[in-house]
Amino acid sequence: MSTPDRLWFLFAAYSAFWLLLAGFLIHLGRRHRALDRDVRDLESRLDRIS
Amino acid sequence: MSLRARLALVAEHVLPFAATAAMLAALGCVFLYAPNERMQGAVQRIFYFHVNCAWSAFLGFFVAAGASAWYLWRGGETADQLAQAAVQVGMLFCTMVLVTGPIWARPIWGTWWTWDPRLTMTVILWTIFAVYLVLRSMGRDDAEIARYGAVLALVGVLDIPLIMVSVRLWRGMHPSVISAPKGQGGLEDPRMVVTLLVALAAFVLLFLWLLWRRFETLRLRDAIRRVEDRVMEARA
Repeated sequence: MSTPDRLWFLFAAYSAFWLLLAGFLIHLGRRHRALDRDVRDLESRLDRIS
Repeated sequence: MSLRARLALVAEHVLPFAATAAMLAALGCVFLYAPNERMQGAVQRIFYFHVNCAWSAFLGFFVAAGASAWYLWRGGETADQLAQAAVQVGMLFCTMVLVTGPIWARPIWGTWWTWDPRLTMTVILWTIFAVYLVLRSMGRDDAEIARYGAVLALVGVLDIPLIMVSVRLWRGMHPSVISAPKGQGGLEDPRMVVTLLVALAAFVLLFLWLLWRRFETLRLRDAIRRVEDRVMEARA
């Protein structure tokens, strides 16, 4: 296998690493935003009860 | 200031910047400092992230097993939350290992995948903890499912020593770079060792930051669920 072909694999491996990390961080961000919505929902429900 | 508050301060304000700086330093070492490996050439640079992904995955599963043992022994929501967070972060790194490994194997071994003992054991490890995540997603506040999960984490972590010794025990294709004697495919140049250690520091910081973030999200989720239950009771 020629050197440029091998460099493509190096690029692919590091790209895969960053893509997976970015996916995980986006997932965490979404979960956090969903929890923020839950907190706001709870606050409004508590206001209605009191 | 309590210990937890100090930890939170460090985790939220220091860890992200430290992890980013260390990761940039690691990338600099991998691409600008470390020399090309004699036989494989530039593609061997995958090694520095591939190996550290594996070590970070093992760290995650060991933390999960420790927290699970504590949960089974003493109970407590915090230990269970820590175990769940550690498994999720460990699974991220284990997935990275299983993705970067075949990409490296293709130009070196001529195949994307082979059922080598170390590779097979790693797939088994990934599957065990994938089952853990599915199990935990099934029961919201079920203590029995939490206990099953804790036992599964303790069983799953036993696979890690097998992965470590599999190369010597069953003589597979996977190289044993770290423990290889000098001149037999190990890290020949001191700059390779420095690069590996810089990358290791970056991965430990990244691991701790991700673990903290996931742990805090789980704590917040459980706190919200408790308040929701109290609101439901108050309405009833």
